[in-house]
Amino acid sequence: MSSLSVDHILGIKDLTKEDIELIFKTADNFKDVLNRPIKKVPSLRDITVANLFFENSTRTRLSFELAEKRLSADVINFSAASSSVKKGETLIDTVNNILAMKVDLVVMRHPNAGAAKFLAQNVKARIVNAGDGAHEHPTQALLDTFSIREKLGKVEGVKVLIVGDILHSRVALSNIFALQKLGAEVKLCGPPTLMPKHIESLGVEVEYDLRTGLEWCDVANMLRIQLERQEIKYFPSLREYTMMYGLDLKMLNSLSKEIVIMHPGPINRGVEISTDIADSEHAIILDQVENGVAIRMAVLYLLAEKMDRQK
Amino acid sequence: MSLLIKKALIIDPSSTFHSLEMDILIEKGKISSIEKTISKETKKVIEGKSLHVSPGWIDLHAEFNDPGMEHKEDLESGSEAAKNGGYSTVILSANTHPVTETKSQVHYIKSRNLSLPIEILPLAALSEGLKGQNFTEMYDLHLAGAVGFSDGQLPISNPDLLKRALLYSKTFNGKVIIYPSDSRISHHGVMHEGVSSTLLGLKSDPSLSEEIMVARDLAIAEYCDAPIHFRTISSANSLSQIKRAKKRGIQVTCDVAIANLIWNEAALEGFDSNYKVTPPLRTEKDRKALINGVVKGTIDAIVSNHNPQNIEEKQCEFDIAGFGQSSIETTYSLYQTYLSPLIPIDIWIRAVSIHPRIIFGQELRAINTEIAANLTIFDSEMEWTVSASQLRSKSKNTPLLGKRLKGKVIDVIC
Repeated sequence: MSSLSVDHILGIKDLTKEDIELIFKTADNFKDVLNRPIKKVPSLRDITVANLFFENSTRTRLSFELAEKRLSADVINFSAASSSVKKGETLIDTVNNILAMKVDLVVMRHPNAGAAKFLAQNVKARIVNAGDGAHEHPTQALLDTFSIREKLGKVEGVKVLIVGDILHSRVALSNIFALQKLGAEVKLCGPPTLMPKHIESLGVEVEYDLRTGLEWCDVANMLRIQLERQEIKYFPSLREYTMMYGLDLKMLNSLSKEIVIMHPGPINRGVEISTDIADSEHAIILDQVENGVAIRMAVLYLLAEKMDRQK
Repeated sequence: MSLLIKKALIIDPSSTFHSLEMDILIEKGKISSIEKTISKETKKVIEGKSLHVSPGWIDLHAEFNDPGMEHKEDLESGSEAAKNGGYSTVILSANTHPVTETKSQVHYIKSRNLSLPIEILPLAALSEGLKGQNFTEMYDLHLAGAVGFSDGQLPISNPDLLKRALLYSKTFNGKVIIYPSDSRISHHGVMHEGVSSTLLGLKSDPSLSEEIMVARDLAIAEYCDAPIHFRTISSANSLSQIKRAKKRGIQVTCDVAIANLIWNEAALEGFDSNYKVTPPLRTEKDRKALINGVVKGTIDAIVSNHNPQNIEEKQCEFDIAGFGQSSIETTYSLYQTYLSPLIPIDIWIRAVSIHPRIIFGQELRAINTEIAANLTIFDSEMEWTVSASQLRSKSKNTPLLGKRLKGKVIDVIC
């Protein structure tokens, strides 16, 4: 029986290639389940999961909740609008209070990088990182690479261009790690003000011209411009960002080959990508969302398999 | 009280006993005799295999948080910790609550010092309320006993304020200490901008924030023809600028925090907030350049940069954790364990005792008979394991708990 090498899913950086392949294989099975009339299995009926969201989220929270319910887990949700727990109870206290009600697994999104690791070190529960600051968002990267594998039949050797705000993006970092572990080539594209100065130390190249980048790639992952995370202006206006880094159908059609368009959502239509692309056959954006549930089911299932349970 | 120190290697480049292994007799607070062998009944005898004696150490940057944050440290616990770390004198930052900016506050520290085991020298704020707008009554503070003026780890953003402070304090030899960092570039960064920050996704502070201020402040110091001291330099480029400035005759001195000599940015990769310090731990290249800067004398002093934080400030998410390490008790042992092969003991003593006293206009007392005893006694081979119960500081925010170190301070006589 194969199992994960880790006890928590904190980031792709900690996973092995074998872990990722195991998650994919498990997700394949769950994807079949999701296409049945009864989209539910009893695997986690003895498990209680808490979804703790210290930062706004719609799709990730729904995706996790659905994954948990389809595995028959008991689910509780906690959302705190406050960006910092500093104002009142500490994070450890908040989580320990919830764990005292006999919770086994915690899915957490938090605005601070490292928060998931901090929690894993300080509380007795399995942790799934649903995004921590600009650090990692492992399940997003897993579902992204899973979707590439589904669309192109493989990940190894595929050329992926990640476009946009790399500086503030946990999705970019997790995607870089996941794609590299699976043998894909990664280039990044975006304004230099949104590119971490030392990003090339991760073994990726940087391309500042969008067209050149698109001509190179097989897949373009167009990241969301996260204005809410920018304390200062990194580009003068959205209009100018779109002029330089926005993708529309005209540009896509002028490329010498067909490429796949991805977006982690939510889309700013007309900013990163135009509506005609978002809704076109080039885009696999809704497949990504669908695969998200299967991937999260796989992650939760595999973590629960490592727990001491009486079945 | 009489004390006999047996077979101690004297490390004091300004003394005729330098590099000699001697017995030292201390009676009534004075060194009464230094001989190859002294046999006399004394109340206390200190012996050891690798005993060293040097002039008492002085720490240029420590925070004892008194008044205002006594739950982290106070003058008593801080002084005990400093003594435990080998310091006979500590210069305290002005960022207390309220800020040390009037003569009554300087008097508070001076009067409390009467019952403390070591000498405490206060710095006063350079700007009122550390707000960086108007300068304090520097002359009055100087007369009250403030040994220098500094806004602690807050930079002086306004270049004209620095210019006026340097010019104004020249008349009475006031010492201005600057923490060079441009907050408009550091942007609430919690670590160095580099490979590690890229991996961790943490907000980062590029070396540029320091280098740009060093360049600016050197130009201001040159214009004013006044001395300036940079606290806790962290980048190789800053160091080259200071080296060039020294050659050109600009009156600049600087120091480095022990943490920046020991660790680099990679130490933060486990999100351990005990490595969240100001200035941030930078690259390995910077660390090596700083060590070389100490050896070559471009860096005048090594400081503990002791910044105690209670557990609540550290046991939390990295972004909101407080900056700093409780470091005053482990500075020497870190040196002995990790740096002594690179930085000879003579240079260590210059950097923790002789240069700091010269910079801050304190009396130098070369080890000799008939002078008042102000000595640090340390054993360069003794090993010990750092534990919370051994540390006298109220705060235990150090990554060294449980670590075995070589070199231990035996006592401080002052």
